[in-house]
Amino acid sequence: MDIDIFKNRLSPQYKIMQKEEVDKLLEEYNVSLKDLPKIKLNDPAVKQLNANEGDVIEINRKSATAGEYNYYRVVVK
Amino acid sequence: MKTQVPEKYIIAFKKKYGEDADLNELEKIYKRSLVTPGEAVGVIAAQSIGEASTQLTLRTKHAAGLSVINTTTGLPRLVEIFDAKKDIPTPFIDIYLNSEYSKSKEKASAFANKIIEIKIEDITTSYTVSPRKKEIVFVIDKDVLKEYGFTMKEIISHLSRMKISTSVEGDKLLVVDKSASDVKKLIRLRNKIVNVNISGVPGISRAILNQDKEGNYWIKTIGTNLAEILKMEEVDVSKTVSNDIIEVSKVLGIEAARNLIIEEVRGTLENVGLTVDNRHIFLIADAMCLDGTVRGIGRYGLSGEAESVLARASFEVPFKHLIEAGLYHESDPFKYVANNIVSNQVIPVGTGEVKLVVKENGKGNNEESSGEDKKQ
Repeated sequence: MDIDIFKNRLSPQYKIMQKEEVDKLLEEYNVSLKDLPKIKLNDPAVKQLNANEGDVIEINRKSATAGEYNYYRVVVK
Repeated sequence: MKTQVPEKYIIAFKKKYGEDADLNELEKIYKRSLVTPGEAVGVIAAQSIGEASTQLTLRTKHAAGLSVINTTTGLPRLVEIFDAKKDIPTPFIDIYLNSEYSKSKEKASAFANKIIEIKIEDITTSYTVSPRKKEIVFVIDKDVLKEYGFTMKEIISHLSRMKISTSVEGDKLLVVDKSASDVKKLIRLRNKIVNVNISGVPGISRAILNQDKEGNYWIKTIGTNLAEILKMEEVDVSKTVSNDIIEVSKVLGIEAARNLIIEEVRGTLENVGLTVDNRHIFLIADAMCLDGTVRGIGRYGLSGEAESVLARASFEVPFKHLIEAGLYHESDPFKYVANNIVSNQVIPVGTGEVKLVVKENGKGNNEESSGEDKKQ
């Protein structure tokens, strides 16, 4: 795979979250890890980020109604 | 959780009522406009899109004989997107080129010719299979061959990976397979050879050159193979996308697929002059992409995978689900709308979602103090 998919206009900004950030997030929304939306381990974006199973990925979406906001997905098999 | 008024509303508010406007008033208005907890947003989204789609024409325009690329539009396209259909009937890619190629017509059209898939089938006029000699003879069209700029040698080199012996006799291509025991095997071999790719990207059957307002050339294709196209150096990776949602989810990821769903639904509705609030489309796209793969809405997608037996049974094919549930000893959590309606209970929507919580001893708000009370 040589394509940089993050360059594509459909791709949002991705970031792997640190452990402390994840704890803060889960506390803020009062949810557990398994309640978060999921992203597959073989997803091209996860591969390019080099994320591992169980990591939480912060996705910075651009929205026509809300400007910019963060969405979170946990990496699963 | 603290709600924050988005900056763009603050800016708009200050513009209208002056710099020293009362922001508390704005916060009140903003909070009133938010969706209240327990609101059945899914049903509202379904209604909003469902009602609008009754206005769509059921039949797509018949475009046979026109040189325009025929693409699925209107209601069939909407159904296609929401069902997350694999192998859609009219896939295409809008290929945008790097500045070097998009400016010159020759370079752009040379690239368009380069990506069109040419198989052996396209350069042969006829073939004969002779079982006794275990031989297949392809008659190659020399004019077409010259037009594409191939030589016989190149074609043979494409066949070298197969375990067959090939030779050329005039404009004939002879293929002998000693191991073939009957006619069936020879026919199967012929079908395999005919589909051998000589040049171009597999899956792209046509490429049409277009020019935008700024004079840049771009290419629209029939057929799709996004992974291969994006690897080519002539292509502008940032702008090129296909209309196949499943393919995009595999090549660019689930988030890109979600964005494409929104784009395609909005485009399809706008094409026929309908406006549906974006938020409804966002909700559906998010629900479809929730578990990391694109799931359709329907019997084989979201509704068919519901946790509750009764919810599934009340959607479609009830007997199948009830019998299966009985066989496999399934339990029903009674958390959702459909099963609570079936069993005549309050549905968990709006005020029905709020449960009354009474503390055992009626005192204290946190666990620590209630624990102390018990000890005494």
